[in-house]
Amino acid sequence: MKRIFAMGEAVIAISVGVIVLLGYFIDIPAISIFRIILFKWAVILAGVAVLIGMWNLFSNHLKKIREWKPDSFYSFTLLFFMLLTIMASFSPALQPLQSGLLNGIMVPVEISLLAVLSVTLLLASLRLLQVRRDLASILFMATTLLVLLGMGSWPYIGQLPIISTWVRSFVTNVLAVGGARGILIGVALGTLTTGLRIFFGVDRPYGGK
Amino acid sequence: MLSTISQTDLITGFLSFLFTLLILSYMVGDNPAFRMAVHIFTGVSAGYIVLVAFQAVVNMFAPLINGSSPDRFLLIFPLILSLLLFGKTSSRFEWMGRPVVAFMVGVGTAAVIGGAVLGTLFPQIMAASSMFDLHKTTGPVNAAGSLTAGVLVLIGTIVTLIYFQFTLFGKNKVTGKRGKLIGFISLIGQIFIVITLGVIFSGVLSAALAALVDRINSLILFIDHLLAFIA
Repeated sequence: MKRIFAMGEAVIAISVGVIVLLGYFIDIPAISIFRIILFKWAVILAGVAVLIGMWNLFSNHLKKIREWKPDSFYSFTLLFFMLLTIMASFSPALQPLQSGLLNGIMVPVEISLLAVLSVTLLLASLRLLQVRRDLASILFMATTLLVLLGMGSWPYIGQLPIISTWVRSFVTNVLAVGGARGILIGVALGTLTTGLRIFFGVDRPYGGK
Repeated sequence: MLSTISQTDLITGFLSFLFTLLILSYMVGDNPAFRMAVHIFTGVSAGYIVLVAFQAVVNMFAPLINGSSPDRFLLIFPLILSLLLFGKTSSRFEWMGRPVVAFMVGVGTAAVIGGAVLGTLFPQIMAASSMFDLHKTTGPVNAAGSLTAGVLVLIGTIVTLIYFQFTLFGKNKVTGKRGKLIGFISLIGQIFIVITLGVIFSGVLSAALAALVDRINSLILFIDHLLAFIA
């Protein structure tokens, strides 16, 4: 019975996928219309899946609070603010809170986390030179330094003559473009192969074996 | 007495000041204040995501009430599939959600393949070949420069792709090592990749530094405004 179910799931994934994929490359009105309908259903289901994911987050933290471990206070705080944000949208009395939650918490925390990243990245790059002193590490740091040096104007000096105009432009517009294009094409080919493995039923990321 | 708007602004400004300090405290090491701020942020973000997703789902199902008969008919299927998907919340009824996940995987995979071919592979190949289009350049110096750049970019692309080729042939299969030629090309590929990552790293670092400057500026501004208000 399990085997039949697994086969049924594979049939659903492959048939639906093939119809949507055909719609990309073959211009047949019936397939195009059906493809759009399937896409709309998938978008609705993705929205429902997000809600289920949030329910999972909620229930997991609720479980942590029930067990009451030393870290449970963090879970309590998380759930309190999650419910407060939801309530602030539905309850007219709490609606003034919305601006505080968005501009007072979400936006500053997001930017501050990015700011912390600058220090973390600097420390990590210094550590890289301590731990691995090979050609790749030195070239990586040299490129970073060169691009940063040529990025803007410096106090008293302005833009660095050769680095800002020629070297940085050559590194970012020629050398980096070649590498980036290779990486992008490699990723696209990898995606294509993984997708085809799903279509041939070799990989079944929906639970079947 | 403060007006309602300025009170709200003051509270928002104070919250922004407080949360910036709590997050920046991570620079001296992981601490409870930072963890608390991150959990509050996760809670608020999760609540916001719930609201956005709920509103989107409700809007998409709205034609079930006020739509035409064909619209209603077409929405019955996703409604059933959505109900089945809720089976995923329980280990007992998990199997009910699996066909729905299979459906989503099928559509998602097709979309990803279509995106990879039409959105990445074709445009990148076109962009690589367009550098050799001499009609677009002006003058012989520009044409020579564009051609040189095109050749270098093409070499970079090919050697980068060769670096990611790990299949071994012939006697290399036995030794488990790359041949001399492929090894040399891979080394050049690695150099191109390292330069690319260095450029990306410098971009991320400069964006992060700009964010740090913005936050420090906001802290100074808040203290400045507060002192002016008290005075």
